[in-house]
This record gives sequence, C-alpha cells and structure tokens, in this order.
Amino acid sequence: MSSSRPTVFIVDDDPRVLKSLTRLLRSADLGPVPFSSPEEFLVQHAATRDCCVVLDLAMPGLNGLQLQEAITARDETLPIIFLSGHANIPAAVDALRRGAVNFLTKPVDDQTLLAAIHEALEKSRVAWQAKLEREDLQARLGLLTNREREVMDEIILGKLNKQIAGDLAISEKTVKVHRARVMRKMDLMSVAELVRLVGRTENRPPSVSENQSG
Amino acid sequence: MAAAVCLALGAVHMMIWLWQRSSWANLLFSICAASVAAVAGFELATMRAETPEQYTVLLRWFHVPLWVLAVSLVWFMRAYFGVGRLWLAWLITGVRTTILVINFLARTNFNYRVISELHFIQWAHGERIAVPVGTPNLWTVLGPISLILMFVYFVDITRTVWRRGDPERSVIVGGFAWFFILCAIAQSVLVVWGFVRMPYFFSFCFLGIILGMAYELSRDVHRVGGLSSALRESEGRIDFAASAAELGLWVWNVRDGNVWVTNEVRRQFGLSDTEQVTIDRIMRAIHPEDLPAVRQEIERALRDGTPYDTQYRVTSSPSEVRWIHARADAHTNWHNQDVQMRGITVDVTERKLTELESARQRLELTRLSRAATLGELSGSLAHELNQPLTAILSNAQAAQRFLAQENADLSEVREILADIVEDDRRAGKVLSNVRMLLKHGEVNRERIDLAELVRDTLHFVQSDLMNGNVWAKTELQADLPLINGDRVQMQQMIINLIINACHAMSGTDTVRNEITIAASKLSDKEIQLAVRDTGRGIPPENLERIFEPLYTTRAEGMGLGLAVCRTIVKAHGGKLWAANNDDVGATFYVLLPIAGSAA
Repeated sequence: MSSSRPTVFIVDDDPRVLKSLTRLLRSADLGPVPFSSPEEFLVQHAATRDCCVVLDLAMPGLNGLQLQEAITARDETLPIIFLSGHANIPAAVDALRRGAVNFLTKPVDDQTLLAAIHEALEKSRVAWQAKLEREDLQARLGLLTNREREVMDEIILGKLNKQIAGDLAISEKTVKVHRARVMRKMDLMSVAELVRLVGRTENRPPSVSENQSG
Repeated sequence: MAAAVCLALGAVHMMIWLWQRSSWANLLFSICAASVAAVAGFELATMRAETPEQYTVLLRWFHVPLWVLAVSLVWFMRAYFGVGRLWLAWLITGVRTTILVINFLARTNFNYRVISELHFIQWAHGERIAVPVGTPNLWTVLGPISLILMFVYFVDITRTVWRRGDPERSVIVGGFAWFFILCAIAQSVLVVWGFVRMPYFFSFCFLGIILGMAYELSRDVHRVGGLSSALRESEGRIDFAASAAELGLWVWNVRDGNVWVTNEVRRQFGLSDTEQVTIDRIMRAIHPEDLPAVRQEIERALRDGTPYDTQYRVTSSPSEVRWIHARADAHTNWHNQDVQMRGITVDVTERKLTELESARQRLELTRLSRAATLGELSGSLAHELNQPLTAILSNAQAAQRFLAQENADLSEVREILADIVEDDRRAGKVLSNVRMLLKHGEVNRERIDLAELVRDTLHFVQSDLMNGNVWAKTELQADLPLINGDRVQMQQMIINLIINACHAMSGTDTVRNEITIAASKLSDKEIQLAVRDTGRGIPPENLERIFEPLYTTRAEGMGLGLAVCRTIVKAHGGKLWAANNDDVGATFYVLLPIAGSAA
C-alpha cells in the first residue's frame, strides 16, 4: 500500500480557533480537514488508513464525550485527541479511559499537538493494518466449508492426522484431503504459517479503542 | 346728672376712636353721646325757662344737638353693625336736615308757631317745671315722621343682624333702640300736640339707647382684650408644639422681604435670637451649591401657585452643615393684599446622613456581588480569554513554520498576523468588560436592545451552562422595543438570573435541565423578560424572601444575586418577581419600561 498523506480532522465551533489550527497543521504538512460542528463531522467524514481527529471538548449540541462514543461506535480505527479550554480533570480521565489518545489544554503548543497527532496517526496505521488482516482472514475463512473449518481448528491445536480422524469420526484419509484443501484455499505453505495467521489476528486487539487499563 | 353720665361715656369712646382711627363706630358713638348730653342740657334749660320767649329761643337752638344726635345715631348703627339700608339712612338724614333748616328759617322755631304761655307744673321734688302751651306748626309732623323712619331703620337692622347669627347683640342694641324710639315718638306726638302736659324728655329715651350702645361697645373692648390674650396663648401653644416637633415655622412677606420665624428656625439656620430676619439673610445661610435650585423652586411656587417643597443644606456655622427640608405655600394676605409664603422647615440632617450611608453601602454591596458573580463565572471567563489565546498561539506557530519552509508564502503570513492582531483585541475586550463589572458602579444610561443583550450574555456563559449540563433556549420577540438602561447592570441582572436558574436545577434528577429566556413587548409601555427553569421550584412562602440579601438555600454563595437583581430592576423603574410554573420549575419575570414612554 502506498503511503497517502495523512488526514487530520479538526472539529471546533469557534471559527477563529478552527482557522488557526488548520493553518498550523497545514504548515506541518498534515492534511487538515476542518468541521465547525460535530454533526457535520459525523455525517461527512470518511476514515482512511492514516487519520485522526482533534476534537474541542466544549461545543454546543453534542458534547465531546458523547461524540467520542458516537465515533467509536461507528468507526473503530479513528483515534481521538481532545482539546479543551478548561483543565477539567474528571472529564479528561473519563475521555482517556474510553480510549482517547490524548487530552490537551488550550492554548496548545505546536510541538505538543503535533507529537500527539503523530502518535495518533501511528495508532491509526496499526489499527488499519490489523483491520486489513482481519478482513483478509475472514475472507479466507469464508472459503472453507464447515468440515474444513473443523479440521483447521484441530490442526491449529497441533493434533496429528490420526487424532483428528478420531476426534471428528472420519477416516485419516479424509483428514488428509481436508488438510490439503485448507492449505490451498487459504493460500498457505505450512502449518506454521496457518498458526501464525490465525494466532495473530485472534490475539491482536480488534480495535484502537479497547480498554487499555492493566 | 344724666348729662354727666353721657359726657363721661362720650369721652371714653372718643379716646377709643382716637386710638384706633378705623373704628368709625366709636367716633360716631362719642358724637352721639355728646349730643345726648347737649340735649339733656337744653331740656334742663327749657324746664327752667321763665318766659315763653326764653323758651322759644331755647327750643330753637335745641334742634341743633337734636340733629347731631339723630344723624350720628343713624350712622353709628350702620358703622357698628355693618348693615342698614343706605337709602333709609340718607332719607332720615335728609328729613332731619330739612327740619333743622326749617327751624332756622322760621321766625320762631320748628315746633311751635307761637308759644303763648308757660304752664308751670309741680314735679316730684317740688321743682317748678315749665311746660309750653302754644300753637304747633304744621310741619311739626316731620318730627315724628323722622322718628318713625328711624324706628323702621332700626327694626330692619335688628332683623338683619339677628338673621346673621348674632341674636345677642341685636337684641341688646336693637331692643333698647326700639323701646326708646317708641317712647320718643309717643312723647313727641302727645306733648307737642298738647295731649299731655309734660316737659320734653327726649334725652331720657336716648339715654337709654346710649346706655345700650355703650354696653355693647364696652363688651367689644372686653372681647377684644379677651381675643388678644387668647391669641397670645394660641401662638404660645403653636410655638411650643412646633419646637417640640423640631419644626420651624416661617412667614415670608414677599413685598418687603421680612420673614417672621419661630425660635426653631433661628436654631436651624444659625440666626441669633434677636436679629431681624430677612429673606436675604436666609439665603445667605443656604449652601451655595443648593442655592440655585432653591431659588428656582421659590420662583416656580410663586409663579404657578403650586406648593413649595425642597431640601437643601444650611451652613449654620462654618463647621456645621445641616440638611433642611422646607415646605411652603404662597398666598395673599386678606388684610392688606400682600403676597406671603407660609411654611415649615424640618431638620432632617440625621435622616439624610443615614440615607447617604445606606446608599453607599448598597453600592458597595452591588460591587461585591459583581465580584462574586465573576467568581462564579470563572469557567466562562477563562474560556472567553482562552479562545483568542489559542488562536493566537497556533497562528503564530504556523507562521513560524511557514517562514521556515523554502518559498515561504508571505501573503499567507501577512494574513496570519492580521488574525493575530484581531484575536488580541478580542481578548482585550473581554478583559475590559470584566474591569467594568468590577468598577465602582457609575451608571451610564443608553438605549439597549434586550434581545441582543440576552444573546450576547448567553454566549458569554455558554461553557458554564454546558458544564452544568444545562440547555439554554431563547424566545426573543423580533423588533423588541429598546429600553433605557445601564448595559453593564442589565447584563449583570441577566447573568444573575441565569446563574440562579442553574443552581435551581443542579442536583436534580431531571433528564434535561433547560433554561428558557423569553422577551416580549407586554404593552405600549413595558417589555417583559422571563427566565424559566426546570428546577426544584420555590416554596410558596419564600417567593418574596428569595429577594432578600444574604438569603440562600445553598451551602456556597452569599445569597446576593437576586437582591442585586431587584436593586437593578428597581433603579430602572421596573419590577421583578418569581412564580412557580404549572409543570416543573419556576420563572422569574422582569418588567421594564420602554425607552421614551412616560415613566
């Protein structure tokens, strides 16, 4: 995949602040896309591989946290950075627990903001990648029949053909046939690859905004 | 003897007249009394006459005092009672004058053409009294006629005085007069026409009248004396009452500038106990700053006839300043047509000082409350300052980055700088608004569009509302009439009402906390502002108490917000009250007069 220019969505109801942030991001060669209302943003934005959103916390209408919920519900790979005029600790903690990448206070220094954005963009790329892989796996798994699926599960567990035949009550020969079909359909060369593929997608957190507390 | 009495009375009343020229009654009375004395003298002489010739001459001159008597009696009655038909009086005077003239034109006298002889009769003490015998003149009849006329005249006077409500006087004088005139008539007819032989005894009759009059006049003198002492006593009481109430009484005679004052006025104005007080002296005591207004008030009162009511400072001594409240009325003295102002002065220094002190305290309280409000709005305040600061910082840093690139676009940088300047000004305006709120509260009146002010204020408090999870709605009538007021104070009032509504809704379980601000034209003269919340409502017994200063149901806060609102609304000529809503919460109503409508 070619690296596209990153997209940074900015949502702030104060037009002058919106303008200045847009300028700043442009000067840093990030692709700012401004929105003056959360509703507009929800309707019009489209997530890409390399994107994040900078949200003003105190806006009329949908408040920042409700917006956070709405975004994560719709779009699991979009990282959120909050900007707020108040140092509101409870709100900040809440936001971060729900998966915001960062919570910054206004007026915001360009280094701080850009660092946070780059971190978010990295997260976005990673999440995007994971999503692609998941989709890929789903696609491949979709090619298998039920029986083949069952055999695959057994293979991953490390069972020998003989054991698989016994578990599934089929002949060993049938097992071998299924095995070959699984490898072919899923386009894999070795069992190790299979294990790695399934293991990776199953162990990776499915979205960016999973609970990060230990 | 009778003569002596008359002369004495006459002398007394002559003296009274000399003393009080305006009293014609007294003069006429003395003349009358004197003439009765003369009549008595003549009668005596006729009684002692030896010869008819003597008698004739005496009789002739007898008519002079008779004329004086009749005329003075008639005119006395008129002067004393103030009534009596003028034409009758002149008629009687005319008749008697005719008699007198005829008397002297005739060869002998008026009564008799000829006195033939004298009869002598015995009187009580063995004295010899002469009684005339002769032929009476035809025009003698004029005598009794004049007496009858006089009788009619007196009856008329008596009746009028009785009806006027002075029965006592009319009976005394009138009664005497009637009785004795009748005697005189009877006597004159009987004697002259020879029915009865007896000497002239007119004087006796008129003596009776004189006595009656004298009695009345003396009573008047006595009454006057009594009145005078009653007046002094009354004056004394008024002075006492006025001093006790610390009221000064004064009467200013506009024409000559003199002012009669009670002692209390002297004390208030620092006048000495004895100095003659003039209006200039009073004016000199008044504080120069207050003098123009006082002069204006006086002129207006004199010109329009409206009451005079004003307050001013008086420097009764270089170190002492007193506040005086003066009220007065201009009127015309009935006695001499002078224009006067009569009034009172009250020393209100204590009250005034208290007023000034409490006004100062109220101002201080308002300022404190504003400071407190500002504290409550710290969230909004910080936000209002933060936004421009954020924009400035990001803009400046963006400019730095642009300039660091090759082929920097200078026009973009110029735009950025312009924006920075604008944002800086924005921040400055917010700060100066804050400074105005904290200032000492000078009032600037201007025309205000309340709808626009509400919108501005809501924007200002927006972030605090959101922190409290409060929704704000407006129902502002388009083309709302302007009001006259101080913008800062009006904004303060709106902010306080909003804060109050927020407090009412904090901690409640309602899903949606909502404030609705509505403004509409209520009538030709007023607009109404209503701030409605969905909070706990107000217990009915507290609907008025909540406006008291330092009343609060919350743990924090000073309870000043609503009291300050009331003060502001009242200062703008409006009304503020609260009512519970039918469904949930309460509404605060503000009535304000429209600019330009009559207050």
